[in-house]
Amino acid sequence: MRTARWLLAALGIAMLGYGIWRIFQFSAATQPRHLGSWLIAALILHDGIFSWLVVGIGWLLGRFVPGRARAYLQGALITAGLVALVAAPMIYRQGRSQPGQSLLERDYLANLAIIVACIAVVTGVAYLMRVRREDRAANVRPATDQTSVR
Amino acid sequence: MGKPANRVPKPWGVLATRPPIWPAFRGGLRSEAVTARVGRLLGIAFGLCFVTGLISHYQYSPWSWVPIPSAPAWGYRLTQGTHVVTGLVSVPLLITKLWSVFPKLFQWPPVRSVVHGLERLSIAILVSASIVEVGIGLLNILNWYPWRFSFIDVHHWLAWVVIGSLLLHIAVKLPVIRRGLAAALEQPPAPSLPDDELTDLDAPQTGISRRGVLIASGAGAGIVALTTAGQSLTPLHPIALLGVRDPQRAPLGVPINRTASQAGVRALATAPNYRLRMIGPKPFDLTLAELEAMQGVRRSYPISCVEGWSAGARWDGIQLMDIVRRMGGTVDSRVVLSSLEPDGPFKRSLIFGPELHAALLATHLNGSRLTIDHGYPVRLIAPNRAGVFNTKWVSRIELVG
Repeated sequence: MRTARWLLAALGIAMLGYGIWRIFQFSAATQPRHLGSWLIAALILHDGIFSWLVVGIGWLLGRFVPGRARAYLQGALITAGLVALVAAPMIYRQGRSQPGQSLLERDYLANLAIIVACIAVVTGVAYLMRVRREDRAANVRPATDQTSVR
Repeated sequence: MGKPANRVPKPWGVLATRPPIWPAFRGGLRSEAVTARVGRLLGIAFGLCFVTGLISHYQYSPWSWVPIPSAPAWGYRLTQGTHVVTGLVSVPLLITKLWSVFPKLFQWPPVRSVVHGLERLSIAILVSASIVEVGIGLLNILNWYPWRFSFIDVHHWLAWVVIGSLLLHIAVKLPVIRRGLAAALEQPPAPSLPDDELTDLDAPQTGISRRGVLIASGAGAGIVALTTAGQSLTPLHPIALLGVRDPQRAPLGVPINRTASQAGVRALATAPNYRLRMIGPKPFDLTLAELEAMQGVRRSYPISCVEGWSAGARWDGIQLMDIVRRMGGTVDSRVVLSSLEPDGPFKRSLIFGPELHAALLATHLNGSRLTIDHGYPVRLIAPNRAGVFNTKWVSRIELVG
């Protein structure tokens, strides 16, 4: 186990080093300084902005949405948000391709809306089913007090 | 790696006390069990991306003693389709994985030892390289290049950085990963930290469960896969809501990546004095009429782009080997085809070995004369060959060895 971990670490360091070496070796193509600014920007964008937006939305949901509904709303927002992240650049670039080029020929904003609507319907139905199940259990159990209910 | 420091060593003494205002996360939604499960999926996706990416890169610079096989004809269609779909799926997985470990960014003290500092540095490299690698991959399939570096070089070498730092990360965290995978997903809420003055940034426990997070994030990844894969996986075409290319809408059923206008060949390709020029031991020229009078064959070869889309297609044309033999070449020849394109990285392409034996100089696609954007008057098509190397608007065929 210990040996395997050291071997894995050594292989990782070797591959990491190889990649960095090649980036600097082919600097005319890779533009290491420009690439470096992209790498740092990625960290700032994710750790400094995006993650805090997610934390903020979570906090707002915890503050203003009641317990049982919140779980479903959170689930729907996670799924829709992740899909929207992939769709966002498509929506932005749509209609900018060259004439004759078979590229981004769909209406990505409308299609994202369809996907979000499907997510909303599925989570909405799941939520209503749980509400019904729990309400029925709450109403039935104390009233009948029988073992045959379930 | 390293022992947990019970006592902070002297040089780090100033770091012993946490600043009065510092983020703390007590939601209990994030846990080793969640991280290990998402991380395992992301690791598999990255591994698949790396291997299929190297296969694709081999198309760019094959060794002469290991020629690219021509069978199965759909080989590149499968590997590159997989590459792009797993790359797209790793966007939601990566975001979820990073979310699950976000509080670790604010661990205190930030650095416990030299080894710990190096480990955190390697994680910073892993995180930023992963985001950039996946991000530029997504923008590339949209033909959007808001950077100055070469996409092909950076995407290739950064992949080594990502996988290298990922293997290092797995080696360091292996005991934690095993513990996380063995742990049950839902556990009784951990006792909250005693220091109540910390700002509680996470929502209270009554919302979504850990299982719920995994289901929601998995659903996001699944939707991305199902709505994008239709650009190469025909049965999924009807739900390809986020498909970048649409073979069924494209002229003659095959998408066009680069038009004749973009390549600057519109006038040259339709000029009446077009000649196909053969350069070898026995050089000769062919007019379009002579070319079309030659004995033709029909082949079904899918065309698969490096950007992940592909389409099955039926091609009519003459076998490239017929021409190569007439030029004085053999099955062992190395052949370079040049396009009418005045300039550009894919003006020329090299073909040899099994791909050469199976290659066609196609004049017809799916029963119709090639359109100018599809490479009229004649284009190369070979099985298991990346789209960009199936040179369009061929004007010169040269034996180079």
